[in-house]
Amino acid sequence: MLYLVLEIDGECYGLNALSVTEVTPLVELEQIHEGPEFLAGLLNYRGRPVPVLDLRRMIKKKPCEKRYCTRIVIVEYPRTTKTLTLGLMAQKVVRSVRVTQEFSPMELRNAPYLGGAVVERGRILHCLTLEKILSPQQALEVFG
Amino acid sequence: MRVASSNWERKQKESQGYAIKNFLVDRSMSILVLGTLLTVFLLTTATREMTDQIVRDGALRQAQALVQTFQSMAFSSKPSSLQIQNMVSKVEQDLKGEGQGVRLITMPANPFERRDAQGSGPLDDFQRKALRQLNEGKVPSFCGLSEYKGEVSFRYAVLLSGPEESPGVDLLLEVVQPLGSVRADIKRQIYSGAGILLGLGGLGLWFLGAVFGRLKNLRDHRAASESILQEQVQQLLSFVSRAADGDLTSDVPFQGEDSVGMLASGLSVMINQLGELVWQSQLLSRQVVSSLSEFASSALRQESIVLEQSHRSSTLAKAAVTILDSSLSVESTMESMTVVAEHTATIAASGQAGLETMEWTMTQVTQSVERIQQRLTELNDRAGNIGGVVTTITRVADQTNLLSLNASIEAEKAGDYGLGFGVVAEEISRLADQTAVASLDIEEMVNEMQNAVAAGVESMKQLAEDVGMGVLHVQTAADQLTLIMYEVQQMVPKFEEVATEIRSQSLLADDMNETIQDLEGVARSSVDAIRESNHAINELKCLAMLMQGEVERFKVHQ
Repeated sequence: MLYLVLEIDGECYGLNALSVTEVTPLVELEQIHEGPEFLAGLLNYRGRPVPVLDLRRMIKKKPCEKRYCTRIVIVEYPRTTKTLTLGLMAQKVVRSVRVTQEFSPMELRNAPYLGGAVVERGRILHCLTLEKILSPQQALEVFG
Repeated sequence: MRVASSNWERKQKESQGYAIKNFLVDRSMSILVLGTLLTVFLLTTATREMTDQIVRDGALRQAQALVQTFQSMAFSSKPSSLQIQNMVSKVEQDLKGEGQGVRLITMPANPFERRDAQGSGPLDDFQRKALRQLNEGKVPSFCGLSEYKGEVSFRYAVLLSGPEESPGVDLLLEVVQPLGSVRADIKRQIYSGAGILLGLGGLGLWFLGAVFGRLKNLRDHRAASESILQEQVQQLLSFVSRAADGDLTSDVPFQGEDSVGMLASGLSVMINQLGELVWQSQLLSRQVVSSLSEFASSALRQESIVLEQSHRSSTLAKAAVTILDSSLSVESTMESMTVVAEHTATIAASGQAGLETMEWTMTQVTQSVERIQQRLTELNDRAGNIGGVVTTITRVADQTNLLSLNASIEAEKAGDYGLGFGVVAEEISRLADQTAVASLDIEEMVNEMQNAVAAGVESMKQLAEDVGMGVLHVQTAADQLTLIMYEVQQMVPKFEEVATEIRSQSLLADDMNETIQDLEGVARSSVDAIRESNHAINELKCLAMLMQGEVERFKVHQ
């Protein structure tokens, strides 16, 4: 399975390549001042406004730095009956990796989005579970 | 004068002889009276002893007469007691003396009974003794002196046969005669005799006194006339001796026509004239002493003035020496200062040369800095260009990476159909990675270089400014130093002028010092001269005062 690698402060998080629509470069986002903190803004993605989550803020409580390697990953977020387009902003989104091993299962109450871990090229790679990346509360805040 | 005094002494000795004689005459009278008194006293004492004897004999006689009377009466017939009583009273009348009396004491006729008899009353010591003697029959009567009623009395006792009415009774007859009354009686007689004797003695003495008095009067008269003369001579002598002691004020005590009076007037005239002479000389000597005192005091004043002058001139000399010393030291200082100034001028000249070199060097440094700054600016521009190129490369690499990433995702989605595409995408991705890393490295290097160059440019700018300021300062300092050097060079000849002037001044001070020292010597010698003259004046004054003392010893009428 091919996984897109997102690095946040030296920690590697893997996202299934099948769930990724596209990787776009960092552009200026439309700021939403009344929105939650982890919402970086709205991206004009092919004529559609797509909410972009700041993963670094969600995990490390710090906003992403503006660099070449800071990119927005467009994904389809499954919500009950339909899927919604969502942008995930992360740093150092520069490579993909092919994982052949099974992920060792993991379930953490404070971090439900971590669906397991595997050692890849000597480094721990956490598997991000896209369905649980937002808590119901956060999903309500973003999508209503 | 010597002769007169010897005469006077002789006279005095003679008068002393007279006095001794008079004294002896007066004393012989007193001795006579004293002898008389002594005789009277001896007579009185002898009379007293005689009186006692006479009394004793008188009383014995009376008592014996009485006893004979009694015995004749008793032996002729036995008298009755009345007769005895009458007889006793008769005897008492005969006796008549005070305290005298006859006592009759009845006794037993038997001698053995009588031995222890007490009689009609208690017997005293005398009566007991008489009774014992009479009893033994050794003596017909017993007599002796014994105390009776507190008075020494002569007592006579005899034993009589008793009266006829009372046989067997004897009578002890006792006659008492107190010595005091008899003694008074006899004393009276003796005193009257002694009084007559004394009267006669006094008469004789008076006569002797009259004769002696007459003699004494004669002698006194002669002595009086002698003593008047002596007194006059004495007065003259004292007058002359007062004059000799210096008292010329006294007058001659007497005048007269006799030789002594003439002598006195002559002496008086002489002493008066002498007094006048002495008075004149006293006045003169006082004037001399006072003039000399004034002279001495003025000489002292002069001495003090000259001394002060001498002190002042010596002070002046010291000041002149000080001036000379200070001018010499100033001269040497000026010389050393000239040397220093010359040295300073030399140093300043060399300093100026150094400053010029330094200024040139600074200018060179400034130019170099400016060149370096230009180079650095160029370098900065080049680095900026490199940065732009690197940015472009980086952007391309980024785009490539993104493309490869999306391509690999799309290939994955295509499944087995996308395998080949996936490999291509992977290769592209690898290429992009290397490019990106290289460009990133270059970017960092370029950034660092740009930063360094910018900092270098800044510091070079600062350096250029500092150097410019330094050049300015150096220029100012050089200007000032030039000015100083000029001034110092100007000063050197002035110093020399001053030194010359001071040299001439010190020569003048030297001359002045010599003159003042001469002056001081003159003042010192004049002080010595004045001291000598002062000493001479003092000696003269002493002599004058001695003379005055000698003259003042005389008291004169003023």
